[in-house]
Amino acid sequence: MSAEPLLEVSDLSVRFDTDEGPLQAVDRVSFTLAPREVLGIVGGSGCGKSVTCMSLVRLLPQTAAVTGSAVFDGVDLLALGPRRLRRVRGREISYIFQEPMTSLNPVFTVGDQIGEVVRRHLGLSRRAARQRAVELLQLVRIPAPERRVDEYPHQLSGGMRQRVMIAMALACDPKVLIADEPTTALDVTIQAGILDLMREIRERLGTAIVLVTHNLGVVADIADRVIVMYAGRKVEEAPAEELFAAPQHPYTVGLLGAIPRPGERQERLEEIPGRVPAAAAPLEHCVFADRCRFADETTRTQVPALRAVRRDHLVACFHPEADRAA
Amino acid sequence: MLVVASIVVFGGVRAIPGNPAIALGAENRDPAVIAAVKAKYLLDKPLPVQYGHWIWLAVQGDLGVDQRQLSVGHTIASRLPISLELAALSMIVSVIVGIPTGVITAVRRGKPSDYAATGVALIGLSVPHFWLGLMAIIWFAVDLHWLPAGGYVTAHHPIANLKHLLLPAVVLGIGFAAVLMRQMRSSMLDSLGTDYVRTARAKGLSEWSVVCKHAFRNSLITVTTVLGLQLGALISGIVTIEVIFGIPGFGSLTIDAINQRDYTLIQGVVLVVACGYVIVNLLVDVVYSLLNPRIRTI
Repeated sequence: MSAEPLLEVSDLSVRFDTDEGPLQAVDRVSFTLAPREVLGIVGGSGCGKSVTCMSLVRLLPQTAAVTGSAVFDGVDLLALGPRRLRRVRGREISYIFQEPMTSLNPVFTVGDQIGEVVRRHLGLSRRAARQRAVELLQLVRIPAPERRVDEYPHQLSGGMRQRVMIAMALACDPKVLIADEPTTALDVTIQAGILDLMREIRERLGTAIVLVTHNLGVVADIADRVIVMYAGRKVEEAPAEELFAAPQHPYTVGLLGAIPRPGERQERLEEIPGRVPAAAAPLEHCVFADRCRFADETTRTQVPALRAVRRDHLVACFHPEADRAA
Repeated sequence: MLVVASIVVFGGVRAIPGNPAIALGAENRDPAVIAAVKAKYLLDKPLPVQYGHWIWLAVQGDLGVDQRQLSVGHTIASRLPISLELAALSMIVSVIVGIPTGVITAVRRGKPSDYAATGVALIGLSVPHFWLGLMAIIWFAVDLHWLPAGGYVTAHHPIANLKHLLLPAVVLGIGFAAVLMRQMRSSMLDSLGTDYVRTARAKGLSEWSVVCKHAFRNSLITVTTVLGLQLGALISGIVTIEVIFGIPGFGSLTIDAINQRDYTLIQGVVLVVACGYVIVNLLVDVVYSLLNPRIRTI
């Protein structure tokens, strides 16, 4: 992607002060997002992908210490005052959460909750906001929007609620949509519908999307570019097709090996041995060293820097696939 | 529900030691007089007959006459408004004090103001009404002469009326404010940690609307339930407060009736309280369903 980036994140680190001591959740992560781009962030549970995204609009609890910068539209989101930050949230950068069942307020109607965003940011009247809510419900393909707009969240199914969340996120035509595991809580057929919807949104509205997921299938489906995270670090970044065709980092290779392939008979899916490390401070060696087949002395004593193995293909590994093939 | 209450009332009154016929006959222990009294009040009949007679008249709105031959219905009607006024005032005090402090302490959790308010609430919760009432009288009435020590002035003189009720209402209200504040604080803390509050923040809403709209509305649901449960405590609180402050309300009427072994009066009083309890709980349920759409649409 050669266009001027919409969002440029540099050296983002997040540390939590917990009762058990500090926890380094994200360690010096940098990436960019171009207009109209769909960027997938993949990784296992606890790899810091959600924390990374939430820190961008500063939705993390106060126990989180965030450093680095996230420049959006010329301003650093991490240094923004609360008032200006609120003008970005929901208007420029919207967020869709993983849990559609609990992310909507049970005591307000769907229309209220969608309308609230446009009333706040665009200053619409109550009546105009309701009209806009109906349009948005239509946009996210909720049947009978005129009726649904006055319903409460408990009257809707999980998939419908996620559509409402998407409608709410799109209410002000944001430039960036952060979708944090939007399909994880939904069953497979509903998932496909939501992904279709997100693809359509990108086509029709030109919204750039950051899609956080642990599901590589989802990423392969709609992402242009993919970042693989492991234990708080970015370990690989590549255009989606390239990543699937020629993964470089042993972790990515492992992840792809763990995907069941229809038609291929396999006795057992491949797994990556060991556990994800939880660090109190940034590790001074490769985060994947303990679980890596190719780990050696260098891996255990030095931090691998990100380097380009091909154009647009970065990997933080001393022994990427490309080197071993050579 | 009310039938059960009425039977308990009836049985309970009769379980109180002491003989009303003797109490009525005063010094006159003449068996003939006592027998006449018993016959007049059906005290010589079996209990089920007495109950049937009483309840039959009660459902028609006639609670009978007390020992002084005054209509129980009228006595209650003249005393009840005084207590209702006291109850309403103390509720207002407790809501005005309890709800905002609950919200504020939840928002400022862990800060000195939170600890201070929670500490004061704990004291408010632990101190019994009667002691607080006595202290308030000594301080504000006897020492400072700010407010009258007790008594009651009818609402025809609104200022004097309020002056007389202010101290008892505050004393009674403070205890409830503490309960309300603690409840509000904990349910606000729950609400503030929910996903939908995070959603509200992600939408770019102001902190005011995140707290006072999204979190507050949900917290009210639990607080309303607790408020309904506190009603029993409010009624018993009114009884002691009225006695301490010499307010001729429903509570002091109850105490007098019990001291006099005035069966009809006690029965009438307690039946009215039971009705009131049921009605208020019904109101609480209605409010609850208005606040909680998940109940409304089932």
